[in-house]
Amino acid sequence: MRRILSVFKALVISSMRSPVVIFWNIFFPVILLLILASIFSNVGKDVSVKVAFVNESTTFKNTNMDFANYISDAFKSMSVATDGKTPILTLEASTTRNFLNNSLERLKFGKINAVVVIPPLFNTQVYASLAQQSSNFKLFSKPKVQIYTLENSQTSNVAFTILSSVIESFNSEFLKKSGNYGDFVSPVMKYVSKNGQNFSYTNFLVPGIIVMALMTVSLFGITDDLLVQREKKVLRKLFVAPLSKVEYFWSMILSNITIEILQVAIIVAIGFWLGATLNFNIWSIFYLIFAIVTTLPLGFFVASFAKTADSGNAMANIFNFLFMFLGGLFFPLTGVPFAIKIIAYAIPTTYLGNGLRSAMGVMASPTPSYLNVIVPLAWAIVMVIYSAKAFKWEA
Amino acid sequence: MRFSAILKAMIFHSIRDMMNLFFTIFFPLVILLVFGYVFSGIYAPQSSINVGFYGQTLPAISGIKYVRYPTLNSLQDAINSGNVELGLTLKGTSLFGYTSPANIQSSDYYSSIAKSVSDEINKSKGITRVIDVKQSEISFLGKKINYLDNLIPGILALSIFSAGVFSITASLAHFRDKKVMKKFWITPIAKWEFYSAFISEKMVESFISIILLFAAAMIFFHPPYSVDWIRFIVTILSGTFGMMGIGMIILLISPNARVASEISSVLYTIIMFFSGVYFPIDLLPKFMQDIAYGMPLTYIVIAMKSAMGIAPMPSLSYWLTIVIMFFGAVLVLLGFSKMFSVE
Repeated sequence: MRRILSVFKALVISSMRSPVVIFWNIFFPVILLLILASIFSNVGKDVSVKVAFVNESTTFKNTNMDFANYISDAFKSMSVATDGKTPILTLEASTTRNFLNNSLERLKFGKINAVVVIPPLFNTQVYASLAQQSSNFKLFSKPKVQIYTLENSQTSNVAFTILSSVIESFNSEFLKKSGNYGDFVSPVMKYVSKNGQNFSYTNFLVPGIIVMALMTVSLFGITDDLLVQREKKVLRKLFVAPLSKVEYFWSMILSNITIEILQVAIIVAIGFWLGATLNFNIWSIFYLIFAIVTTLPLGFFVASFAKTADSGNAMANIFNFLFMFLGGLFFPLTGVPFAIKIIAYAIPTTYLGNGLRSAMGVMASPTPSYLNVIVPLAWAIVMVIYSAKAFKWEA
Repeated sequence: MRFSAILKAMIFHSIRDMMNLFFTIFFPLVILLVFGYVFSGIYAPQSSINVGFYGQTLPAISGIKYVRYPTLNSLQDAINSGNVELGLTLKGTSLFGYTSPANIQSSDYYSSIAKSVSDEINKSKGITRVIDVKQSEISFLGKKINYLDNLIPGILALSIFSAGVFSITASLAHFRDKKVMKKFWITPIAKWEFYSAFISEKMVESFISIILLFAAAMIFFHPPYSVDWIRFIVTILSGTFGMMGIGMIILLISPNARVASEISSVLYTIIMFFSGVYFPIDLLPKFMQDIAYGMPLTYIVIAMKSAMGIAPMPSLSYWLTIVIMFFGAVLVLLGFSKMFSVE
């Protein structure tokens, strides 16, 4: 036991002194968590979009029926910074066709995010539309605000959502005034999750990042340590000393578990700081331990069929990449080809991600609970048996 | 003559080096195919969608296939198990739309479906919006492009980065560690002959691997690119050369090949997420955007997108990027040759 603890201490100190180990096991998961959370949850981000506003309206100018001007004022108010915050819109406004053409060209080149065009007869059309609401008389077509966006640009889509919500608020006002608002059906979106409306993408992401981090420790830590030390004949020298392979094996397991506990603690702390709502009950702690135990053999498994440290590293990269992205740890897999789906449902990270999210109360698992235990366990047993038989302690 | 002999030797060495082939060709191909299938599935527009509902019958809308559920719980179970992607139920004047948090990336799409259904319900009651909003999407290419079409040039740029950086931090560093270079130096081979043959071989290797990746992307995913071949080739060559310069800097500060490879891997991973390959830079927080615009890969990604005709890059900016990358690498190589010790 003393020997196990001595080697364990040496391995932990060696890991803590290695900048590469610290980067892959601590910094990388944290950076990934921060990047993905900031992109998909608006964490630490002031949304600001650049919009060109073209008011071509010519009727009822400067009257109380100048609806185009009301819309223009609403946009202008959103382009003013308040409380030191970045304004939601950066607005450029004009009334000329030249400005419109120029703005569309700039939109095409990604210099701005959207172009809003109010047509020439807009005020007349709005007035007529309001009057037509209470009669069947249709003289003018419906007023239409045209919003140009850049295809496949997420920022442009954000701009569209912001701009259309402003128009929607005008519609609500009109409906209130006409007395129809009470019957107006509006959509209300809800997530079906264990935490109900508390759900955020960060909740979904944190368990995924934890599984990824556990996998990384095993794949890169254990594989690399074993193969490099075997190649440099360190293992051979160690076993000349009064240290058995079993003792060394347990020291290695303990040192990796220590790193994993540390990384889980840091990821969870950052997750809470980002606003994640996660349950820590007996079941979630049990499942976390289960995830640690079932991912540990991955490193031994890869090390057992790699002949050199280089080939082990290449294999670890492939395993890491496939398990990370096909396991749905950051995004769920939808609409993928059948062959990809088969791989996704065969690998343990799919089930570990689902199981951990379910245990932490983020969402109900899309895969049955018993499979979230059986599949990773089966992988772990097969990997342990294979590694025990195939791993060569000497090159 | 000696140049061609060394070049030939380098080519044989690269072909026989399985690890080199793995990281230059096989691994980028796996990344391309996995990302291609995963992300095209996640972001692909759907022609029809299964929508579960509970309670009052909802109006028919093209592209929506309704499935009735007897209770709200059974509808929510169906969403959780993935049998339906969206659940709707009308309560008074609220049309509740239920989705699984796992499908968060499609939440805008589901909201737009719920909005269409509520519009139809309002229309049937004779209530319509006073002002309509019409969205028109315009594209630089003039053709419809999707997330995957945007991702492919980024993956090619990543391969340029790895081919350039790892060629130095892996191959050249190994030559140094294994004292291959020291042995070369005692032959009548001039340093310039060795380095020029090494760089030429790595440029050809990078070029072939990018062309193979591009061909694989065209065969498997049929993106609608309008390739400017001159820009495409120039971007690959100058990008690889520029990244070799970065590789040289890493090698200069690394005591051995292992440390050089580890620094390169860390840099590759950080750069990968900040350079607009997977996520648009303008969606990042401001401080991350500043980091992104300090990364050389960001400019290779933009140049590659412009070469493939899906993103604008004015000629001046493009050629300035190429020149900076090229001459920056030349300067680094010159400095390197002064400081680099082969032992």
